[in-house]
Amino acid sequence: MLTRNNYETWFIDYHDGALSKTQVAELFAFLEKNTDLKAEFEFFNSVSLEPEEITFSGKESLKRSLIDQTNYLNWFVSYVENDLSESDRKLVEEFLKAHPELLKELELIIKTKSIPDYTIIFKDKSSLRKTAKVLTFSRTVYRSLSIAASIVLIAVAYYFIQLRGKQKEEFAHQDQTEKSVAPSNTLPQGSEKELANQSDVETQPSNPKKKSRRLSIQKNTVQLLRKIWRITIKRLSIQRSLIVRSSIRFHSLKSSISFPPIIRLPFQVRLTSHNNNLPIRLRVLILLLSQCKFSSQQLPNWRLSFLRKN
Amino acid sequence: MTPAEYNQCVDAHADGLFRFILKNMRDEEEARDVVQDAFEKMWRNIATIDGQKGKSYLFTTGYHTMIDRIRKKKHISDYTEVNEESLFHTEQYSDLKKVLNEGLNQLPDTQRAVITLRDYEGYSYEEIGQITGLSESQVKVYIYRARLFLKEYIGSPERVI
Repeated sequence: MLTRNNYETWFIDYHDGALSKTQVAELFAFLEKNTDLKAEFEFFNSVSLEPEEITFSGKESLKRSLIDQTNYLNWFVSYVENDLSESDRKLVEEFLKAHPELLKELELIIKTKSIPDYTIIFKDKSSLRKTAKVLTFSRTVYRSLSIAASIVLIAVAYYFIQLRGKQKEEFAHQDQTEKSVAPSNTLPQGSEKELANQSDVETQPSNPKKKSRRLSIQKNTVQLLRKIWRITIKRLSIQRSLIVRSSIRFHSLKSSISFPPIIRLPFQVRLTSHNNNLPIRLRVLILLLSQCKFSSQQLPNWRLSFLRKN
Repeated sequence: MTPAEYNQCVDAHADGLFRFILKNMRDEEEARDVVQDAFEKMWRNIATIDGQKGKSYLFTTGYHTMIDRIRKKKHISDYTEVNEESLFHTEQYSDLKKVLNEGLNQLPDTQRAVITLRDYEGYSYEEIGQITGLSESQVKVYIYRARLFLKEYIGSPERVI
Protein backbone atom coordinates (compact mmCIF):
# COMPACT_ATOMS: atom_id res chain seq x y z
CA MET A 1 0.00 0.00 0.00
CA LEU A 2 1.52 3.24 -1.13
CA THR A 3 1.46 5.97 1.50
CA ARG A 4 3.39 9.15 2.23
CA ASN A 5 5.57 7.10 4.60
CA ASN A 6 6.86 4.59 2.08
CA TYR A 7 6.68 6.42 -1.26
CA GLU A 8 10.54 6.62 -1.58
CA THR A 9 10.89 2.88 -1.99
CA TRP A 10 8.07 2.93 -4.55
CA PHE A 11 9.89 5.69 -6.48
CA ILE A 12 13.13 3.67 -6.46
CA ASP A 13 11.35 0.47 -7.47
CA TYR A 14 9.64 2.37 -10.30
CA HIS A 15 13.01 3.60 -11.63
CA ASP A 16 14.45 0.15 -11.30
CA GLY A 17 11.47 -1.27 -13.21
CA ALA A 18 10.51 -3.43 -10.28
CA LEU A 19 6.83 -2.40 -10.12
CA SER A 20 3.96 -4.27 -11.71
CA LYS A 21 1.48 -2.51 -14.04
CA THR A 22 -1.14 -2.18 -11.30
CA GLN A 23 1.51 -0.82 -8.91
CA VAL A 24 2.57 1.72 -11.57
CA ALA A 25 -1.04 2.78 -11.97
CA GLU A 26 -1.34 3.07 -8.20
CA LEU A 27 1.87 5.14 -8.10
CA PHE A 28 0.63 7.62 -10.69
CA ALA A 29 -2.77 7.89 -8.96
CA PHE A 30 -0.86 8.63 -5.74
CA LEU A 31 1.17 11.37 -7.49
CA GLU A 32 -2.04 12.96 -8.81
CA LYS A 33 -3.30 13.20 -5.26
CA ASN A 34 0.04 14.35 -3.80
CA THR A 35 1.25 16.87 -6.31
CA ASP A 36 3.93 18.16 -3.89
CA LEU A 37 5.82 14.87 -4.34
CA LYS A 38 5.91 15.12 -8.14
CA ALA A 39 9.10 17.20 -8.08
CA GLU A 40 10.80 14.60 -5.92
CA PHE A 41 9.61 11.81 -8.24
CA GLU A 42 11.08 13.62 -11.24
CA PHE A 43 14.34 14.25 -9.39
CA PHE A 44 14.78 10.48 -9.09
CA ASN A 45 14.53 10.30 -12.87
CA SER A 46 17.42 12.70 -13.31
CA VAL A 47 19.73 10.80 -10.97
CA SER A 48 21.48 8.18 -13.04
CA LEU A 49 25.16 7.51 -13.70
CA GLU A 50 26.46 6.83 -17.12
CA PRO A 51 29.78 4.94 -17.49
CA GLU A 52 32.61 7.16 -18.55
CA GLU A 53 34.84 6.20 -21.37
CA ILE A 54 38.07 5.52 -19.49
CA THR A 55 40.55 3.13 -21.06
CA PHE A 56 43.63 1.32 -19.64
CA SER A 57 46.57 2.24 -21.77
CA GLY A 58 48.93 -0.61 -20.75
CA LYS A 59 46.81 -3.49 -21.96
CA GLU A 60 49.48 -4.77 -24.30
CA SER A 61 52.01 -5.09 -21.49
CA LEU A 62 49.59 -7.32 -19.57
CA LYS A 63 49.19 -9.73 -22.42
CA ARG A 64 51.30 -12.89 -22.35
CA SER A 65 54.64 -11.87 -23.72
CA LEU A 66 55.51 -13.85 -26.79
CA ILE A 67 59.06 -14.40 -27.86
CA ASP A 68 60.73 -11.28 -29.16
CA GLN A 69 64.08 -9.54 -29.31
CA THR A 70 63.90 -8.52 -25.66
CA ASN A 71 63.05 -11.81 -24.01
CA TYR A 72 64.32 -14.53 -26.35
CA LEU A 73 67.12 -15.62 -23.96
CA ASN A 74 64.64 -16.77 -21.31
CA TRP A 75 62.70 -18.58 -24.01
CA PHE A 76 65.92 -20.25 -25.16
CA VAL A 77 66.70 -21.41 -21.60
CA SER A 78 63.15 -22.76 -21.28
CA TYR A 79 63.64 -24.51 -24.59
CA VAL A 80 66.87 -26.14 -23.40
CA GLU A 81 65.35 -27.06 -20.03
CA ASN A 82 62.34 -28.68 -21.73
CA ASP A 83 59.98 -26.37 -19.87
CA LEU A 84 57.97 -25.44 -22.97
CA SER A 85 54.81 -26.92 -24.39
CA GLU A 86 54.88 -28.24 -27.94
CA SER A 87 53.26 -25.08 -29.31
CA ASP A 88 55.75 -22.86 -27.45
CA ARG A 89 58.67 -24.92 -28.76
CA LYS A 90 57.34 -24.27 -32.27
CA LEU A 91 57.20 -20.55 -31.48
CA VAL A 92 60.91 -20.62 -30.57
CA GLU A 93 61.77 -22.58 -33.70
CA GLU A 94 59.80 -20.14 -35.88
CA PHE A 95 61.49 -17.21 -34.14
CA LEU A 96 64.87 -18.76 -34.92
CA LYS A 97 63.93 -19.14 -38.56
CA ALA A 98 63.14 -15.44 -38.62
CA HIS A 99 66.32 -14.56 -36.70
CA PRO A 100 69.00 -17.08 -37.73
CA GLU A 101 71.72 -14.87 -36.26
CA LEU A 102 70.44 -15.82 -32.76
CA LEU A 103 70.98 -19.55 -33.30
CA LYS A 104 74.50 -19.17 -31.86
CA GLU A 105 73.00 -17.95 -28.63
CA LEU A 106 70.82 -21.04 -28.34
CA GLU A 107 73.79 -23.25 -29.14
CA LEU A 108 75.78 -21.61 -26.35
CA ILE A 109 72.98 -22.25 -23.88
CA ILE A 110 72.87 -25.89 -24.96
CA LYS A 111 76.61 -26.06 -24.33
CA THR A 112 76.16 -24.94 -20.72
CA LYS A 113 74.65 -28.34 -19.93
CA SER A 114 77.30 -30.10 -17.90
CA ILE A 115 77.98 -33.72 -18.61
CA PRO A 116 79.16 -35.64 -15.56
CA ASP A 117 82.65 -37.00 -15.68
CA TYR A 118 82.00 -40.70 -15.27
CA THR A 119 85.67 -41.39 -14.70
CA ILE A 120 85.25 -39.82 -11.28
CA ILE A 121 84.18 -42.60 -8.97
CA PHE A 122 84.09 -43.18 -5.24
CA LYS A 123 86.91 -45.70 -4.97
CA ASP A 124 86.49 -47.03 -1.47
CA LYS A 125 82.89 -48.25 -1.69
CA SER A 126 83.65 -51.20 0.56
CA SER A 127 84.11 -48.75 3.43
CA LEU A 128 80.47 -47.72 2.96
CA ARG A 129 78.99 -51.20 2.72
CA LYS A 130 77.54 -52.74 5.83
CA THR A 131 77.26 -56.37 6.66
CA ALA A 132 73.88 -55.92 8.23
CA LYS A 133 74.91 -57.29 11.59
CA VAL A 134 74.32 -54.26 13.66
CA LEU A 135 70.92 -53.48 14.98
CA THR A 136 70.57 -49.77 15.37
CA PHE A 137 68.42 -48.81 18.31
CA SER A 138 67.36 -45.24 18.62
CA ARG A 139 68.22 -43.43 21.84
CA THR A 140 64.59 -43.57 22.93
CA VAL A 141 64.48 -47.34 22.46
CA TYR A 142 67.78 -47.70 24.31
CA ARG A 143 66.48 -45.66 27.17
CA SER A 144 63.12 -47.41 27.36
CA LEU A 145 64.72 -50.83 27.15
CA SER A 146 67.26 -49.91 29.81
CA ILE A 147 64.55 -48.66 32.13
CA ALA A 148 62.38 -51.68 31.43
CA ALA A 149 65.32 -54.02 31.98
CA SER A 150 66.22 -52.47 35.30
CA ILE A 151 62.61 -52.54 36.49
CA VAL A 152 62.28 -56.18 35.44
CA LEU A 153 65.46 -57.03 37.34
CA ILE A 154 64.29 -55.22 40.44
CA ALA A 155 60.89 -56.88 40.20
CA VAL A 156 62.40 -60.34 39.74
CA ALA A 157 64.87 -59.73 42.59
CA TYR A 158 62.02 -58.51 44.80
CA TYR A 159 60.03 -61.62 43.95
CA PHE A 160 62.87 -63.96 44.87
CA ILE A 161 63.60 -62.11 48.11
CA GLN A 162 59.96 -62.43 49.06
CA LEU A 163 59.95 -66.09 48.05
CA ARG A 164 63.08 -66.84 50.07
CA GLY A 165 61.60 -64.99 53.06
CA LYS A 166 58.52 -67.14 52.82
CA GLN A 167 60.58 -70.33 52.56
CA LYS A 168 62.61 -69.35 55.64
CA GLU A 169 59.39 -68.68 57.50
CA GLU A 170 58.09 -72.07 56.42
CA PHE A 171 61.28 -73.84 57.57
CA ALA A 172 61.22 -72.00 60.88
CA HIS A 173 57.59 -72.91 61.31
CA GLN A 174 58.28 -76.55 60.41
CA ASP A 175 61.13 -76.67 62.94
CA GLN A 176 58.86 -75.24 65.58
CA THR A 177 56.12 -77.75 64.72
CA GLU A 178 58.63 -80.61 64.77
CA LYS A 179 59.94 -79.41 68.13
CA SER A 180 56.43 -79.13 69.54
CA VAL A 181 55.47 -82.49 68.02
CA ALA A 182 58.65 -84.29 69.17
CA PRO A 183 57.68 -84.64 72.84
CA SER A 184 54.40 -86.22 71.77
CA ASN A 185 56.32 -89.33 70.76
CA THR A 186 56.60 -90.10 74.39
CA LEU A 187 52.87 -89.83 74.80
CA PRO A 188 50.60 -92.85 74.66
CA GLN A 189 49.31 -93.88 71.20
CA GLY A 190 45.75 -92.87 71.82
CA SER A 191 46.60 -89.26 72.51
CA GLU A 192 48.72 -88.93 69.27
CA LYS A 193 45.67 -88.58 67.03
CA GLU A 194 44.23 -85.95 69.29
CA LEU A 195 47.42 -83.92 69.20
CA ALA A 196 47.56 -84.17 65.42
CA ASN A 197 44.04 -82.78 65.31
CA GLN A 198 45.14 -80.01 67.63
CA SER A 199 48.10 -79.09 65.48
CA ASP A 200 45.81 -79.05 62.41
CA VAL A 201 43.63 -76.58 64.16
CA GLU A 202 46.67 -74.44 64.96
CA THR A 203 48.13 -74.46 61.45
CA GLN A 204 44.94 -74.22 59.42
CA PRO A 205 44.36 -70.47 59.89
CA SER A 206 47.99 -69.61 58.87
CA ASN A 207 48.01 -71.59 55.58
CA PRO A 208 45.30 -69.63 53.62
CA LYS A 209 46.91 -66.43 54.85
CA LYS A 210 50.27 -67.49 53.46
CA LYS A 211 48.71 -68.59 50.21
CA SER A 212 46.87 -65.34 49.76
CA ARG A 213 50.06 -63.36 50.52
CA ARG A 214 52.06 -65.37 48.03
CA LEU A 215 49.33 -64.97 45.46
CA SER A 216 49.24 -61.22 45.98
CA ILE A 217 53.04 -61.03 45.55
CA GLN A 218 52.80 -63.08 42.38
CA LYS A 219 49.93 -61.00 41.15
CA ASN A 220 51.84 -57.77 41.75
CA THR A 221 54.92 -59.11 40.01
CA VAL A 222 52.85 -60.36 37.09
CA GLN A 223 51.09 -57.06 36.73
CA LEU A 224 54.36 -55.17 36.93
CA LEU A 225 56.03 -57.40 34.36
CA ARG A 226 53.03 -57.18 32.08
CA LYS A 227 53.07 -53.41 32.27
CA ILE A 228 56.79 -53.17 31.61
CA TRP A 229 56.61 -55.48 28.62
CA ARG A 230 53.59 -53.69 27.20
CA ILE A 231 55.44 -50.37 27.37
CA THR A 232 58.55 -51.88 25.84
CA ILE A 233 56.54 -53.52 23.09
CA LYS A 234 54.74 -50.28 22.37
CA ARG A 235 58.01 -48.40 22.10
CA LEU A 236 59.64 -51.06 20.01
CA SER A 237 56.72 -51.50 17.67
CA ILE A 238 57.78 -48.19 16.15
CA GLN A 239 60.84 -50.02 14.91
CA ARG A 240 58.82 -52.68 13.12
CA SER A 241 61.09 -52.63 10.14
CA LEU A 242 64.00 -54.00 12.17
CA ILE A 243 65.31 -57.21 10.81
CA VAL A 244 65.15 -60.07 13.07
CA ARG A 245 66.57 -63.46 13.49
CA SER A 246 65.49 -64.28 16.98
CA SER A 247 62.36 -63.73 18.91
CA ILE A 248 61.68 -63.29 22.57
CA ARG A 249 58.55 -64.80 24.03
CA PHE A 250 57.27 -64.09 27.43
CA HIS A 251 54.35 -66.11 28.59
CA SER A 252 52.73 -67.71 31.57
CA LEU A 253 51.76 -71.31 31.97
CA LYS A 254 49.20 -72.71 34.33
CA SER A 255 48.85 -69.31 35.87
CA SER A 256 46.02 -68.93 38.29
CA ILE A 257 45.83 -65.27 37.32
CA SER A 258 43.97 -64.85 34.09
CA PHE A 259 45.39 -62.57 31.47
CA PRO A 260 46.33 -62.99 27.82
CA PRO A 261 48.57 -66.05 27.93
CA ILE A 262 51.21 -64.94 25.45
CA ILE A 263 52.69 -61.53 24.91
CA ARG A 264 54.82 -61.72 21.85
CA LEU A 265 57.21 -58.97 20.87
CA PRO A 266 56.31 -57.63 17.44
CA PHE A 267 59.95 -57.54 16.42
CA GLN A 268 63.00 -59.69 16.42
CA VAL A 269 66.38 -58.86 17.82
CA ARG A 270 69.55 -59.56 16.00
CA LEU A 271 72.16 -60.72 18.46
CA THR A 272 75.74 -60.50 17.34
CA SER A 273 79.04 -59.47 18.79
CA HIS A 274 78.05 -55.91 17.95
CA ASN A 275 75.52 -56.16 20.71
CA ASN A 276 78.43 -55.42 23.01
CA ASN A 277 77.52 -51.85 22.25
CA LEU A 278 74.19 -52.34 23.98
CA PRO A 279 73.82 -50.84 27.44
CA ILE A 280 74.87 -53.18 30.22
CA ARG A 281 71.35 -53.39 31.63
CA LEU A 282 69.93 -54.47 28.30
CA ARG A 283 72.59 -57.12 27.92
CA VAL A 284 71.83 -58.33 31.43
CA LEU A 285 68.17 -58.59 30.50
CA ILE A 286 68.95 -60.55 27.37
CA LEU A 287 71.26 -62.80 29.35
CA LEU A 288 68.62 -63.22 31.99
CA LEU A 289 66.10 -64.26 29.42
CA SER A 290 68.41 -66.39 27.35
CA GLN A 291 70.74 -68.00 29.87
CA CYS A 292 69.03 -68.22 33.25
CA LYS A 293 67.06 -71.36 33.79
CA PHE A 294 64.00 -70.52 35.76
CA SER A 295 62.81 -73.76 37.26
CA SER A 296 59.19 -74.36 38.03
CA GLN A 297 60.08 -74.32 41.76
CA GLN A 298 61.65 -70.89 41.48
CA LEU A 299 58.79 -69.51 39.48
CA PRO A 300 55.86 -71.82 40.12
CA ASN A 301 53.35 -70.23 37.80
CA TRP A 302 55.69 -68.58 35.42
CA ARG A 303 58.03 -69.49 32.70
CA LEU A 304 60.26 -67.09 30.84
CA SER A 305 61.53 -68.52 27.67
CA PHE A 306 63.91 -67.10 25.20
CA LEU A 307 63.80 -68.79 21.86
CA ARG A 308 66.82 -68.44 19.71
CA LYS A 309 66.88 -69.60 16.17
CA ASN A 310 70.25 -70.34 14.61
CA MET B 1 65.02 -49.68 4.21
CA THR B 2 66.72 -53.04 4.43
CA PRO B 3 70.50 -53.51 4.68
CA ALA B 4 70.37 -55.01 1.19
CA GLU B 5 68.70 -51.86 -0.13
CA TYR B 6 71.28 -49.79 1.72
CA ASN B 7 74.11 -51.68 0.01
CA GLN B 8 72.37 -51.28 -3.33
CA CYS B 9 72.36 -47.54 -2.65
CA VAL B 10 76.12 -47.67 -2.09
CA ASP B 11 76.62 -49.30 -5.49
CA ALA B 12 74.10 -47.17 -7.33
CA HIS B 13 74.63 -43.71 -5.85
CA ALA B 14 78.03 -43.40 -4.15
CA ASP B 15 79.70 -42.32 -7.40
CA GLY B 16 76.96 -39.89 -8.37
CA LEU B 17 76.89 -38.31 -4.93
CA PHE B 18 80.67 -38.10 -4.89
CA ARG B 19 80.73 -36.38 -8.33
CA PHE B 20 78.06 -33.92 -7.24
CA ILE B 21 79.82 -33.06 -3.99
CA LEU B 22 83.25 -32.92 -5.60
CA LYS B 23 82.03 -30.59 -8.33
CA ASN B 24 80.67 -28.24 -5.70
CA MET B 25 83.41 -28.47 -3.07
CA ARG B 26 86.40 -28.93 -5.36
CA ASP B 27 88.22 -30.83 -2.64
CA GLU B 28 88.45 -34.59 -3.00
CA GLU B 29 89.10 -35.29 0.68
CA GLU B 30 86.23 -33.10 1.78
CA ALA B 31 83.93 -34.64 -0.81
CA ARG B 32 84.88 -38.12 0.36
CA ASP B 33 84.13 -37.11 3.95
CA VAL B 34 80.73 -35.74 3.01
CA VAL B 35 79.82 -38.92 1.11
CA GLN B 36 80.89 -41.11 4.02
CA ASP B 37 78.99 -38.88 6.41
CA ALA B 38 75.83 -39.11 4.28
CA PHE B 39 75.99 -42.91 4.13
CA GLU B 40 76.72 -43.10 7.85
CA LYS B 41 73.62 -41.03 8.59
CA MET B 42 71.61 -43.20 6.24
CA TRP B 43 72.76 -46.34 8.04
CA ARG B 44 71.95 -44.88 11.43
CA ASN B 45 68.42 -44.09 10.25
CA ILE B 46 67.95 -47.17 8.12
CA ALA B 47 64.83 -48.18 10.01
CA THR B 48 63.02 -44.93 9.25
CA ILE B 49 64.01 -44.44 5.60
CA ASP B 50 61.75 -45.60 2.79
CA GLY B 51 63.68 -48.02 0.61
CA GLN B 52 62.49 -46.22 -2.53
CA LYS B 53 63.76 -42.84 -1.35
CA GLY B 54 67.35 -43.75 -0.61
CA LYS B 55 68.83 -41.60 -3.36
CA SER B 56 66.81 -38.57 -2.39
CA TYR B 57 67.83 -39.03 1.28
CA LEU B 58 71.51 -39.29 0.33
CA PHE B 59 71.53 -36.20 -1.85
CA THR B 60 69.54 -34.19 0.69
CA THR B 61 71.86 -35.15 3.54
CA GLY B 62 74.94 -34.73 1.35
CA TYR B 63 73.79 -31.32 0.11
CA HIS B 64 73.16 -29.93 3.58
CA THR B 65 76.42 -31.28 5.00
CA MET B 66 78.26 -29.82 2.03
CA ILE B 67 76.64 -26.38 2.35
CA ASP B 68 77.45 -26.33 6.08
CA ARG B 69 81.08 -27.16 5.40
CA ILE B 70 81.38 -24.63 2.57
CA ARG B 71 79.96 -21.92 4.82
CA LYS B 72 82.29 -22.80 7.68
CA LYS B 73 85.23 -22.88 5.32
CA LYS B 74 84.33 -19.47 3.93
CA HIS B 75 84.41 -18.01 7.39
CA ILE B 76 87.85 -19.42 7.97
CA SER B 77 89.65 -19.11 4.65
CA ASP B 78 90.24 -16.12 2.45
CA TYR B 79 87.90 -17.11 -0.29
CA THR B 80 88.47 -13.94 -2.32
CA GLU B 81 91.71 -15.48 -3.42
CA VAL B 82 89.86 -18.12 -5.39
CA ASN B 83 87.52 -15.63 -7.02
CA GLU B 84 90.25 -13.23 -8.01
CA GLU B 85 92.26 -15.98 -9.55
CA SER B 86 89.48 -16.91 -11.90
CA LEU B 87 88.21 -13.38 -12.48
CA PHE B 88 91.48 -12.21 -13.96
CA HIS B 89 92.11 -15.27 -16.00
CA THR B 90 93.08 -14.16 -19.48
CA GLU B 91 94.24 -17.45 -20.88
CA GLN B 92 92.62 -18.54 -24.11
CA TYR B 93 90.60 -21.72 -23.76
CA SER B 94 89.63 -24.16 -26.37
CA ASP B 95 88.28 -26.94 -24.23
CA LEU B 96 84.61 -26.42 -23.50
CA LYS B 97 84.61 -28.67 -20.46
CA LYS B 98 87.44 -26.76 -18.86
CA VAL B 99 85.81 -23.40 -19.54
CA LEU B 100 82.49 -24.66 -18.29
CA ASN B 101 84.13 -25.86 -15.10
CA GLU B 102 85.66 -22.43 -14.67
CA GLY B 103 82.26 -20.91 -15.20
CA LEU B 104 80.66 -23.26 -12.68
CA ASN B 105 83.26 -22.25 -10.12
CA GLN B 106 82.23 -18.65 -10.61
CA LEU B 107 78.62 -19.35 -9.71
CA PRO B 108 77.21 -18.72 -6.24
CA ASP B 109 77.11 -21.95 -4.17
CA THR B 110 73.36 -22.46 -4.42
CA GLN B 111 73.23 -21.87 -8.18
CA ARG B 112 76.13 -24.26 -8.70
CA ALA B 113 74.47 -26.92 -6.56
CA VAL B 114 71.09 -26.70 -8.29
CA ILE B 115 72.53 -26.71 -11.78
CA THR B 116 74.75 -29.73 -11.08
CA LEU B 117 71.79 -31.59 -9.57
CA ARG B 118 69.87 -30.76 -12.73
CA ASP B 119 72.60 -31.66 -15.21
CA TYR B 120 74.33 -34.54 -13.45
CA GLU B 121 71.37 -36.31 -11.92
CA GLY B 122 68.55 -35.03 -14.12
CA TYR B 123 66.44 -34.01 -11.14
CA SER B 124 63.24 -32.04 -11.69
CA TYR B 125 62.74 -28.57 -10.19
CA GLU B 126 60.50 -30.13 -7.57
CA GLU B 127 63.04 -32.78 -6.57
CA ILE B 128 65.83 -30.19 -6.40
CA GLY B 129 63.54 -28.09 -4.23
CA GLN B 130 63.08 -31.00 -1.85
CA ILE B 131 66.80 -31.68 -1.66
CA THR B 132 67.88 -28.09 -1.17
CA GLY B 133 64.90 -26.81 0.79
CA LEU B 134 64.21 -24.13 -1.86
CA SER B 135 60.86 -23.52 -3.50
CA GLU B 136 60.29 -24.85 -6.99
CA SER B 137 60.18 -21.34 -8.46
CA GLN B 138 63.40 -20.38 -6.65
CA VAL B 139 65.10 -23.43 -8.13
CA LYS B 140 63.87 -22.47 -11.59
CA VAL B 141 65.11 -18.91 -11.21
CA TYR B 142 68.54 -20.11 -10.01
CA ILE B 143 68.86 -22.53 -12.90
CA TYR B 144 67.89 -19.84 -15.43
CA ARG B 145 70.34 -17.37 -13.95
CA ALA B 146 73.10 -19.96 -13.84
CA ARG B 147 72.39 -21.01 -17.42
CA LEU B 148 72.54 -17.42 -18.69
CA PHE B 149 75.68 -16.68 -16.67
CA LEU B 150 77.40 -19.76 -18.06
CA LYS B 151 76.29 -18.87 -21.58
CA GLU B 152 77.85 -15.43 -21.17
CA TYR B 153 80.95 -16.96 -19.62
CA ILE B 154 81.67 -19.52 -22.30
CA GLY B 155 80.63 -17.12 -25.07
CA SER B 156 82.85 -14.22 -23.99
CA PRO B 157 85.43 -13.15 -26.60
CA GLU B 158 88.49 -14.39 -24.65
CA ARG B 159 86.90 -17.82 -24.21
CA VAL B 160 85.71 -18.47 -27.74
CA ILE B 161 84.74 -22.09 -27.95
